[in-house]
Amino acid sequence: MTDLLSVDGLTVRLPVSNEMRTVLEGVSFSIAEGEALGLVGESGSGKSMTVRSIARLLPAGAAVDGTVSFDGHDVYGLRGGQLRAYRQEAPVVFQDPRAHTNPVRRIGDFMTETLRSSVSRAQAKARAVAVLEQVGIDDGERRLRMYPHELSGGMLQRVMIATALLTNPRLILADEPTTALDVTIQAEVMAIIDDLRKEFGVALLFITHDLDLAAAVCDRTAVMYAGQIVETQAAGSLHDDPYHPYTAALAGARPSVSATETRLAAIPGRPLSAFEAPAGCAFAPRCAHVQDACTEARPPIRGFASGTVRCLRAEQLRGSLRVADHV
Amino acid sequence: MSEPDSQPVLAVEGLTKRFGDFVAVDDISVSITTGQSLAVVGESGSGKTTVARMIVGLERPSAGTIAVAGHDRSQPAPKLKERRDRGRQVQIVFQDPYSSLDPRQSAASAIDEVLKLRHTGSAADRRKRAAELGDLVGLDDRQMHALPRALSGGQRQRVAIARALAAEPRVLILDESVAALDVSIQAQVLNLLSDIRENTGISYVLISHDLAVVRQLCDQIVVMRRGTIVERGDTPRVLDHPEQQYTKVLRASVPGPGWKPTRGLRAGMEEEHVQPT
Repeated sequence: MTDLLSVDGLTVRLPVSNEMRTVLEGVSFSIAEGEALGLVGESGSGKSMTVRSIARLLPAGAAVDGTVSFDGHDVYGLRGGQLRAYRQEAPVVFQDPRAHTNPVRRIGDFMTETLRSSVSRAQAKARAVAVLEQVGIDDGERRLRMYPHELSGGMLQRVMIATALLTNPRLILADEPTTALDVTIQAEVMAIIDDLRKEFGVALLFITHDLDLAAAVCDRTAVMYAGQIVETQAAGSLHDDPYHPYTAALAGARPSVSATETRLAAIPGRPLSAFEAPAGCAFAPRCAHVQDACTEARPPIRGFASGTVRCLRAEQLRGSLRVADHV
Repeated sequence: MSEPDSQPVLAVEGLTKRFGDFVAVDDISVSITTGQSLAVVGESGSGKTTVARMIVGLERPSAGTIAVAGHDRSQPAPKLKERRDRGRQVQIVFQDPYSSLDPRQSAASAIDEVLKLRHTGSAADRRKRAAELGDLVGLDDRQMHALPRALSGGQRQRVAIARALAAEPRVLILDESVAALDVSIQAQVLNLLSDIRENTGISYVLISHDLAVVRQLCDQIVVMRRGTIVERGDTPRVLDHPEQQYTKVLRASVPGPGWKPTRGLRAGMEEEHVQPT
């Protein structure tokens, strides 16, 4: 497998009240053709900013260091038609479909907008009906004439996924696509994404705050904290063999649906944003395993076992971080 | 608390809410005793928040009764005193800690306002009580005097909980109160809520769509769908051995270790005949 998307040393700073604040720091990862990578973290950890950086949707004034390349091309070097083509090959599905549709335009106008420059109206419509069927929406002809407010949240999110598929993408950037949906609809939408990905060999960058959800649909998972990736490894083993203390703490803090805990293993303090991170390890102030060396210098991200980790003590801690089994 | 466990602290009978022709809540009955914690679960549109709003008095029931410690509160209070008494019985903590606090009021001032309404003690007594409440929810002195915008989401939700507790309610309604919080903060607030219940004997009604949070905090569950209760029982029984198809689908949709999303879970749900319990 070759790398379809490769992000290397990505550091992003945004202007906030007359100063440049760091939102991402040295983010590096790659996604192979057809691979699904989960990006997990709490609010402010930089997961959405990572998606925005990849899609070139950062706010004006953002300072970007490092490189993002797609299929061997530098994404930040793309101009005009090349950028449009790139965005069709790597579309974004956002969390809130209502905020990303025009309420006064019909579903059909929205879906076929990107196709209209290349194919006829009738062809565009036929393609739209076909992809709607792939995401489980029958009666596509009628749906295309409807307005966003006439569809439920789950239905509209499926329209967004169908729209992303319309241009035969190679990578879908999905930013918490199911967070606003009811759990039964989330299961349905995730199953659709999973099926389509496998059927068409589309790669996926899946942003979520839910470790279990990431594990269910991704090949690998990267965990973010304070604008940095702290660990990357196979999604299936993240829960049983976490490399970074934060990953273990995050998995342990979540209540379980199958057992009541006497006390949840809460992480003290609150999640930090990248610009607040201290000089050493960003997680050090909340970490149960902190030592003096952790607070002296920022640990580099390095290869570890079958993934990467940003923790000085990873070797010593491995095995002891295992999340208590929920019976 | 003084009453024997047999008398319900909250008793809801035949509660119904219609908005025009639409029946949002259809003839539901629940009751909880002192110190119990009840979860009302369901998906969007199931009517769970409408139930919460009727119990707290923000929505007037179309039919049915709501009694807290034997006092009916299903009709609007005719007098100010009655209204204040009701405020002392039931308090609510809303979902969004960013919109439920007055942006110009510190936590200390919000709590003092509630204490003043209860006419208990001097300004110094009230300050002492406010500081105690701050301790209880884990807010330090600086945070108690800061405006909401200087606080994080988790801290704001602690302020909302402290403010609600200042009225010393018998029943605290938690309307998706931890849903907007990050996992690490959510765990802190859930632990806090468990401690408060243990120490004060307060009763909770948790409105939630998150079955894991429900499992952690509540002894009893009612599952709502389209305005009716489709299943009820002890939390471990309902979650481990659901009897109704709808509850089974809800349970099967929760991601966990080894979980895989499956299509068509909802398909069987539509035809099934739901038997209200």
